[in-house]
Amino acid sequence: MTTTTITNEPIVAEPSGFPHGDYLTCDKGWKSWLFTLDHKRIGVMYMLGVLFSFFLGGMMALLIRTELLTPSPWMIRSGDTYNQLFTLHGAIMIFLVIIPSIPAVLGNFVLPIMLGAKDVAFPRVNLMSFHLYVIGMVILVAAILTGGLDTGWTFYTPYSTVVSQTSVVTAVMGAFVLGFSSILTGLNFVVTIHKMRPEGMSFFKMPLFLWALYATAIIQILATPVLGITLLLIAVERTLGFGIFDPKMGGDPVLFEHFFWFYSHPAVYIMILPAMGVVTELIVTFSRRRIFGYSFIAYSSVLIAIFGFLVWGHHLFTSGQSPVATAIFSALTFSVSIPSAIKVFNWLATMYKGSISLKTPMLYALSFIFLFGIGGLTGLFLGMLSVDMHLHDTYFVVAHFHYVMMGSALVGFFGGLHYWWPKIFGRMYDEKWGRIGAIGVFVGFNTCFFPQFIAGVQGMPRRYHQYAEVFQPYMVISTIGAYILGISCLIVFTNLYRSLKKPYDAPPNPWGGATLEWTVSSPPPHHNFDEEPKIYDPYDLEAVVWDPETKSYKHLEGQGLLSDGGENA
Amino acid sequence: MSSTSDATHEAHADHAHDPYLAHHFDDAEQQYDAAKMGMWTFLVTEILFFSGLFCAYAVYRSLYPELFQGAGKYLDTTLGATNTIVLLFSSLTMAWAVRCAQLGQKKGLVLTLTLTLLCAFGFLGIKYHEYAHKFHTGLLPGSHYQAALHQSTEWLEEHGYDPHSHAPVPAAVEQAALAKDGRSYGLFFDLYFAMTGLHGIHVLAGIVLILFLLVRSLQGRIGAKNFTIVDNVGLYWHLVDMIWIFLFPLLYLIN
Amino acid sequence: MSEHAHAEHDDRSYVHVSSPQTLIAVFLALVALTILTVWVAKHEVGRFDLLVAMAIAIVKCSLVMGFFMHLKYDRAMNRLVFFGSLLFFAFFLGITTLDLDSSKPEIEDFRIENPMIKAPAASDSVKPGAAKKEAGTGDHEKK
Repeated sequence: MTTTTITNEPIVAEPSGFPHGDYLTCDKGWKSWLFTLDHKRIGVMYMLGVLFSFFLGGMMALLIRTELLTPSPWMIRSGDTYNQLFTLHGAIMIFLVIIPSIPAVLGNFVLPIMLGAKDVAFPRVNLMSFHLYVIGMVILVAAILTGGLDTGWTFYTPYSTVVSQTSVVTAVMGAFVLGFSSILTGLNFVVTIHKMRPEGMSFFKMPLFLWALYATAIIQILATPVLGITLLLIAVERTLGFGIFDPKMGGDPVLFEHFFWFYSHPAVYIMILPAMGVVTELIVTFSRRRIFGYSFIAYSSVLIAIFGFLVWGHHLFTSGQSPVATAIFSALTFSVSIPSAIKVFNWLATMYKGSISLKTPMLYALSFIFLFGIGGLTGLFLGMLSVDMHLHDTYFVVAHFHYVMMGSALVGFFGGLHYWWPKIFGRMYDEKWGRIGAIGVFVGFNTCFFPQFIAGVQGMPRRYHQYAEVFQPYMVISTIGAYILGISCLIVFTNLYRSLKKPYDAPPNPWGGATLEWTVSSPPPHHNFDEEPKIYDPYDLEAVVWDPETKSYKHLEGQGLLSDGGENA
Repeated sequence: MSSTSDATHEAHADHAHDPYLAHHFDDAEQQYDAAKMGMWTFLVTEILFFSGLFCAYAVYRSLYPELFQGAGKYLDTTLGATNTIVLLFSSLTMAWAVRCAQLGQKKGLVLTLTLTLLCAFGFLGIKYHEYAHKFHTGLLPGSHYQAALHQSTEWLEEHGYDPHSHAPVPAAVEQAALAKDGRSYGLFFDLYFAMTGLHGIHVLAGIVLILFLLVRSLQGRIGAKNFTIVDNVGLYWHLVDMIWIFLFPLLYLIN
Repeated sequence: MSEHAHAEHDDRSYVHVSSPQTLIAVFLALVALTILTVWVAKHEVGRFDLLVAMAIAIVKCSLVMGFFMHLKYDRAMNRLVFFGSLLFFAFFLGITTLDLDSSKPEIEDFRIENPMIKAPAASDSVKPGAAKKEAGTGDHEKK
């Protein structure tokens, strides 16, 4: 009879070097955290960094939205300061929050456990990833404090290389270091997934969250270095007077845009793919059904990654790109929507006739589907060359990318956070407040960003400090939405934080998931598995049933097995 | 969880005795495979890192072929070829070092690593010589390019500038020099310094890594059971060599 | 798919050790190819310059990769990883160059209107009182 007991007391480490306490309590002191090789602790530290940066970027967003209540400047008098605000909001949210969020926080924690492994392939490289993240954050904050940054997060030349008086070089160095951190995380994940899958778990038997992380890692490895060289060239142009992007010296600013967007377009897929992976897991668990179309979702993740590299020119439609290239990019941009749509249909089909439970993580998953639907479709509007001529650099673009980056990627992160929170910290948060937070985020988000579509179609330009009076009603509604969103985020994080004040009360499997992290205790032991784990089919939900004795779901004896830990290979 | 079998216990005991096997790997082959794949993946990121510079080169050479043909005469093919041979030789010694490490031949390992190191320093030495020459003759990137400083002494004196005075070049003389050359080669030297500079930084990093290997091998911490790190540093070093194999014809062999 | 059985002992059969003969042979081939590419550059004229130089460079790199880096004897996955990345490298270069090449006609027009002008003869711009120095030190023109 297989039962798991929940223990509330921390267990002291054994002198043999294999402590049996959980990973949070097995070692004490700041050094045991800062120099840990445990992927779970690294994930938790990333979480602190990401949430802190989210707060910073969020504050800037609220300042921007507050300023935009009136058509002429009222709170932020200087246009230069306003430029700095939207630049830093963008740079912080993209480089410090969304790109690391799911892979570095949730991926780091969950990936090895889902594979039945004790750690990622290169634990020390993982630690270096984290240290680089912190260093990059410090450098970026230093840039903010010393001269700021007003080039837009896109650093277009020659303004960023020749004209701007702000701390461009410092900021660029910070982003460079953060890029290196991202590359190393991707490298670790690719090798771990290739080389450390257990007996019985072929590529097509592993959880789809891992396919998502795998596709993301491929993009991180291939695209981020190009950002690296681009940032290096900006620094070198500024400090050493090179002229590769400067027309006065024979250079070409459009070349810069090619360089920059060759990374930054795949970067948006770095942001969305992991969130899609989270949503797959959430939909499956909270519909209690096997995923519909496993291989379609798996292949579509890889196709999105590959196609994502072919469409960067759609950011250059109005920049002087040649007509031939523009037409090719427009056509290719349409192709990338197909794999995304396949996922949405598969999720819906999974839910059909499922036993749906509207717990907090599921609310985020459903929000994702709705918001990504809007975000993705509006991307098609922008991919259509003729329409983009009018919509480029308007608020339509701003609304589109917030729908996909915040409404989808960040909502996916929140959903994953709530899903794996009991596993990570051993505590259940208050479900009522969790739901209120989720609904508040949904309402606030739509109120904030939907009016921006309309303002954009009517011609309101983006990045404008002052705007025509006719747009004010949309801006006011949008700001109200921003505040609702801000308050809801406060509710979300207060709720999560308060759960930490309780003693452990989470069972190993509160939601009934079938992936391997739900077979270990909450929180997991230091080495994840004290013995060779049994490998279960991640999508055989019927093999997982509620056990009233332990108040937890658990796998039925001998059911849903891919392999049983080496006993019978 | 059901009880553990004896087989699993034995396997665990074995792992506990292998000092070179990390606890999260099943066996040495998995660890070696993972390390190799990780290194090749890292090399891929290095290739994409340099790709930006190769792209800029391709674009500008396609648009301004005369810029490259004209500037080609300012680079010394002999020095470039010498550097190429030096790096190729260092690749040989590095690959030999890997062999020595695999066979546990400590003396051979120390010798080949030292030879590789000397080649690397030789490469940087020649590069320094080339850079120094360019600094003195105004063959510099972007806004620092000066056509006057690499004209002949007679021409300069005819135009009223004494090259030995090291005074700043008057604008009129610079204009005349540019007109004589036909154009400024600043854009070419942007690419030259960016590409060879970035490559040089990678050579420097390689020197640090090889020094680290040398120390480790002198300490006796590398052997037949523990050579993966030499293998991986070797892969990095060969990539640095391969990048130069492309840079040499692109920069030094333009007609 | 993880192919690892729990090996009770380490036979290291998966490690390939290069022979000294192979290493030296490859090195000599590389030197020969270097000499070839310099020779071709000195003699060959015409549009195929770059193509021939790149072809020789690719052969040299194949030798370095195959033998010095053991890629010939390594797992197929490592070859896939490396050559797969070249695809994206090619995309980046190819499409960017394709796009920016579209401005060639305009550049040609500019050249037609602004042909390269050589400086007038030296005697026109001699300034009185210029000091005379030794010849040769200022001449840095190299081949």
